[in-house]
Amino acid sequence: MTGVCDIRVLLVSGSTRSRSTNTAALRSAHELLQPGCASLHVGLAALPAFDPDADHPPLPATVEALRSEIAAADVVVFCTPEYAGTLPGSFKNLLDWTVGGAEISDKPSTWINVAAPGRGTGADATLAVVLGYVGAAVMNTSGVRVPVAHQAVDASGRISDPDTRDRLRDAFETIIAEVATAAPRSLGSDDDRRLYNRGTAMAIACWEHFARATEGATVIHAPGVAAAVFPHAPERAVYNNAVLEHDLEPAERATASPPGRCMPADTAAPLSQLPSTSPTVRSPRGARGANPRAGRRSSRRVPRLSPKPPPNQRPDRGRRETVPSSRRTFRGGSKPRRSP
Amino acid sequence: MRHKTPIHVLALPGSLRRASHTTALLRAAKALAPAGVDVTLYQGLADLPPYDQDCDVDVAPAEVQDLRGAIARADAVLLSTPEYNASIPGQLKNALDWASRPYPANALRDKPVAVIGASTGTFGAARAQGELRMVLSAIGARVIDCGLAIGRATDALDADGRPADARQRDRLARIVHVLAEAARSGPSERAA
Repeated sequence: MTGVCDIRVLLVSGSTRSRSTNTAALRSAHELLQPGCASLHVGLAALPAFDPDADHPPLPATVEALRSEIAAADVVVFCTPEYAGTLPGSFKNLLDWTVGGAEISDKPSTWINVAAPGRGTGADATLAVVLGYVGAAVMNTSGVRVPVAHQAVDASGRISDPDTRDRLRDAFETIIAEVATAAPRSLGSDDDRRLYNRGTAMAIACWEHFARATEGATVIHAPGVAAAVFPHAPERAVYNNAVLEHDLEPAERATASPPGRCMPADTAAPLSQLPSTSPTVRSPRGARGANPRAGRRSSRRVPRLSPKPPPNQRPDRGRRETVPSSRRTFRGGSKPRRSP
Repeated sequence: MRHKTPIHVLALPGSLRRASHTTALLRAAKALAPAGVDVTLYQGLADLPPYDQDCDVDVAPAEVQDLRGAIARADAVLLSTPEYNASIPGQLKNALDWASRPYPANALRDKPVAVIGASTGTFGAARAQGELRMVLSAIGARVIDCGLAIGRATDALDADGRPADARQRDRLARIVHVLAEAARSGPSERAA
């Protein structure tokens, strides 16, 4: 092995027990991995109870340590027991502390499950949801089963059984291989241009969808510009909009002009009513560095959603009261905002 | 056997925030409780240590004894939860991890419980509430089949923390009533 780490692995156990099979699996994995390139988080029991009021600098040292360890890792591997059908509260508390920082965002994250076959599926399910929600890049290999019996844990809190160690080695080789071959996106960050392109593509797709169900409405694709034209109220006040097309060079961007006027800002519905699944359009001028979370939100949500609202929520002119205000939110150049 | 009055309801909040909407809902529940029902707010959530089976011995930590005692003395429990990351707040689940032991003869066994919640987002902590009901059932509590999800809580609660909407206020009062009736009606079919 070279002295340089190919992949830095952070191992986080969800158990506070000294003889935990989960912690034992990670301790043993620590020994099996490239020396010096894996670390075991040991602060679970020392974290304070998460309080949103306290989630600002100066953070408790234990929280700082957790976030620094996540930041320094290329992949985070969890291993947790299941209590009463879901995650242990103390482990969920650890995950709650990650959301206030950007470290977990797009971080390749996965877990192994050491429960007996057929057990622990509630923990799998909750972990998948929570990791997805905090913005981690949840890996395909997540939830690999490596059953560890309590008898397999020796007095030093490690797994002595050779078969179990082999299965553990296989699981981590699979995880490392996935991290090593992952697309750059999961190891890097989106630049402004890609965020803008994704956001505008989604906004345009939404306009086209709404326009199909609205009398006289159309989406015009002019050179450098896409414009939504809704001639009649009430959609006129809400959906009329334009964005600069994808992949414009600065010179093209400077000369492109929308064929219609942009909607005055004061006619827009409150952005605070944006639901978590709504598309957002982000300004190409918005610097991701100034607020890393703003860009992250849109980059994570935009590719997932379907632009097609349920049938009873389509902007049917005869049933205008059914148009949810939360869908009246497409404004080029707007920064995504969320309710407080 | 009819339960003696008054009925004692332990109100268990899931948030540690000072201006918590979910705790405000529990205060509103207390104010809306019918005669003969008192609602007591549990205030020890922040002090509970992380659950550790190694420490869960004959003499549990004092904070844990306090929680288990408060549940045991109550005739029913009303939980009010926010939602963190699409799930139960870790520290509330941690409280239930302590309360669930010893299993199955824990303080929540056959105890009538109801779950309500609030969030500043759209769904009023509906996912956390669903997960909580599942957890409480697994622990052995008698989960009352009614809930209240207050979305956009910043606007939906008035200055006193009560639901501004009369229907939501009525529903909250109704939940306290149903919970008290469940406590009065005695042991569940399972225990009978």
